[in-house]
Amino acid sequence: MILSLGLLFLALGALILRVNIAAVLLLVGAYVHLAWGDGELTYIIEDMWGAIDKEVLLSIPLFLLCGSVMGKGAIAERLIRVMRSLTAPVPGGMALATILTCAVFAAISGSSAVTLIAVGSIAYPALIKDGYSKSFALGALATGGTLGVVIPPSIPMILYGIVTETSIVDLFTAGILPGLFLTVLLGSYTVFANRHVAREQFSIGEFGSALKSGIWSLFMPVILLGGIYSGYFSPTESAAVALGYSLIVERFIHRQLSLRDLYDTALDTTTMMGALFPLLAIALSINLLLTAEQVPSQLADWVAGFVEDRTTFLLLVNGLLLIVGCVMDMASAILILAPLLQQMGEVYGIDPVHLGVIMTVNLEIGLLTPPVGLNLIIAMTAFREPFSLIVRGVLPFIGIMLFGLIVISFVPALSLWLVG
Amino acid sequence: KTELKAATLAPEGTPWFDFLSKWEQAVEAASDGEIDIQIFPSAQLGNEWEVWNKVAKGRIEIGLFSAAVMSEKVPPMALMSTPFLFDSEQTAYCVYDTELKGEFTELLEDRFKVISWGETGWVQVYAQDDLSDVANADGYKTRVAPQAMSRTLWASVGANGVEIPFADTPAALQTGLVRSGEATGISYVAFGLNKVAPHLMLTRHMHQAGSIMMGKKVWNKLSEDEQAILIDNMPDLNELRQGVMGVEQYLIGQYEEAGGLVQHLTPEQRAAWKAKVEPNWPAFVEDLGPEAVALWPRVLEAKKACGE
Amino acid sequence: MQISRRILSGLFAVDVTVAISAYVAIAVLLLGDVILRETGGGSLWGAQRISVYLMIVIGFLGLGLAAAKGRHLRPQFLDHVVPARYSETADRIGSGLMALIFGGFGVVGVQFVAEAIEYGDMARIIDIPLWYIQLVVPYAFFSTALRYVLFALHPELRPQEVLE
Ligand code: NA
Ligand code: NA
Repeated sequence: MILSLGLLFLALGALILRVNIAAVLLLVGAYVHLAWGDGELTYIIEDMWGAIDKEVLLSIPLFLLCGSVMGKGAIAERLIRVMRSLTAPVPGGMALATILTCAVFAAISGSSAVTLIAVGSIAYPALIKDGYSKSFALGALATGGTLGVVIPPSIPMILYGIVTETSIVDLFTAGILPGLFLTVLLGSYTVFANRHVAREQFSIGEFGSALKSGIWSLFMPVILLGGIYSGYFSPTESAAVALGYSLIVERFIHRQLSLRDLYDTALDTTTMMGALFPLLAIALSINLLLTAEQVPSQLADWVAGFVEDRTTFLLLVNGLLLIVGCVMDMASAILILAPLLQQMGEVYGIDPVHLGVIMTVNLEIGLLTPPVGLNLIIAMTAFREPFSLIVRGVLPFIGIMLFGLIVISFVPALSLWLVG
Repeated sequence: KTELKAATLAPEGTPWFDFLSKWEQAVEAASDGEIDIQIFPSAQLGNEWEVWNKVAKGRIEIGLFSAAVMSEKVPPMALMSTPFLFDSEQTAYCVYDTELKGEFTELLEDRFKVISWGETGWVQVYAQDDLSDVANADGYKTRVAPQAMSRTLWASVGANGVEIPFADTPAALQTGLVRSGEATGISYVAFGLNKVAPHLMLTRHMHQAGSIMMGKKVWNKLSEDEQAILIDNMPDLNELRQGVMGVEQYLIGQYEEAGGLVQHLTPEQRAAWKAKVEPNWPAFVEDLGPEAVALWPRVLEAKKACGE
Repeated sequence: MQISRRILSGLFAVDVTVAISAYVAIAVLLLGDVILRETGGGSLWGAQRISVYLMIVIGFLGLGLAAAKGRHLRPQFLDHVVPARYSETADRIGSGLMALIFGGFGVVGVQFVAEAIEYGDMARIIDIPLWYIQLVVPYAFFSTALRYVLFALHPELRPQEVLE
């Protein structure tokens, strides 16, 4: 108790003195290891190293850089122009186009962070320029980004498949319809929320000229999607291809990227990594300590005490995951809880593939909930907006996602129909 | 009270977890609850490379390791997974248990106390086409694991290798980035690789064992009584071996019964595979470093002594 | 003050050069692997593994670069606890505290590297001692600490925070 109070005071004191979050987390990590762990501070660094020593993370810096390049160059604005001309006759057309782009991009990336960054760096400035409020734009992007883990391929689903010995391909297939369903829900909401925004006329001339100037930009998703689905490169490698392609187009075709710009984008991305990676690493290291102390499994046991039937089980699983999703990152939550929940679920006749989709969608919402919401943190870093503004922006979208989660939880066919 | 954390990649309900669990119960009973082993399944405490370092340093007390991490961390251990070295698992067991037990233990001994060897089973080739005839593997797009064994196998048969992480493999098979790879029968079925690469060639080309080990420092801190309880109550390794082989056969059998394309290689077909790979054994061994080069003749002798 | 400025820009030049070179290397490795493979020229063994190590180096160097550019995330809901007239003092104490924290972890980082040497850890795939790469850890912590020491001494050198 005294130890916990000490921790709180230490963290608050540091925050009052304007210490940045990386340093605060290091301080907290050190305190936790000294007070409850084995007192070995090298463990923190060992865990930080282990957390980022992973091939799956490789696409993050590359997509960050690619996003930054496209932000400086002309791909972004030309792509936006095409999308805008297409969705002009719909109220809130630009916002709808953003959600749809996220869904398309989700089909080429396995993570929500990458989807958010890649689409967001293009769409965010455009949404703002179009007069959407910052909070709406941030909400739509942060939420749209999470489609990246439901629509296959999906890194969290791979993790789930590995720890529960469930077929990853089945999980991927099961994610398709729920992913499309969430896309429709989010798309409908953006149109509804902007129903009073004036529509525009669809102009074939504008569309044609947008298409002409944007052909190289439009070609990018084609190359990425086509390249991945026809087996030329892996999703991780697609980040390198995207970077290479965007560099060539911006430098030699659009001719809007100077060497100075190139240097700036690299520097910009590096500082972004510097703000993001230590956080990721320290948070994962604290997580590992909690696991070793068996905190999460005790929590799961406690929930098991309430379960009587299938419906209660699903409700409680969703409740538990929503709470867990607030404080824990997706990968750790899946690694720790999936095997436990899958075993409990089998008692109530829940298909492990269906449970995998439920967990993914549920923890997907966790990416949007404070205090630890990866997409919130990434949006904050990438778009340089205050945390509170982003939280306000995602609130209505969380509501939509919760509705989707309930449907996905209680209509197993939505997930399992394609699996057969 | 002595608390020992035991980490494994294996999820609950697998032979590996059951084996650890049986040990845990026996140890607890024998020590009147004084020695408490806590098992962390499903890589909860990190992947094998992290766990390896943590066990070495005493941060996690016990680790169940696969052959993959052992042969990367201690290259001479990879000799036992030389592709097509053994025809029967009994030969490999004999080498581990009798002929080279001391040599292999010694390789690990500066940092670890080897409690028991493990068992991962036979690695097989899977593909979207029938590769029973090794000629079909020429130029075939394949997933190469980041290990010398895998590289040697695929380079020997002339495959077009792509190095991708295991997690990316199912998707890569789906898109055609790769069209084949290698896995134990258990992972082949459990991870659904059979749905994207329906041909399972029973090449039995690489036997993988593994180990259950404690960090040396932690081990030395235990009392002699405690050490004896831990060693004496370790279940018979053959139970794990039979358990793993049994699950493997069961899963492959079920797959075959459901119409799966399981290719039982004829002795000639397997020999043709082996003939491509065997000439590259010396280069493979050389690559593993001087320690491995020195040990290699002894491995071959031991194999002969064990009846192959 | 002049010396401090020079130290800061020197550190910056080193970090940026290494980080950007690492970026270029990752792009070349991964892209080269794809192109070689699809043109039938074989494969760049270990391209992904080497890239992961480079990514880690970029990540750790980013710690100092983010400090230099004011890019570190910082929750600000407690900023008004300290009255405005003491704001600069709070900033300086905060800089000093961060120097201590990062400096402390620099020391831990040295221990971390020492352990890797003691245990003979090797980098995966590429055959070099892992500690060559892990040197970036103490370097990143110490160079970040040094930056905050200078910010504590000369608050005018502390960059404007990019995040609101
Ligand atoms: Na996806
Ligand atoms: Na959250």
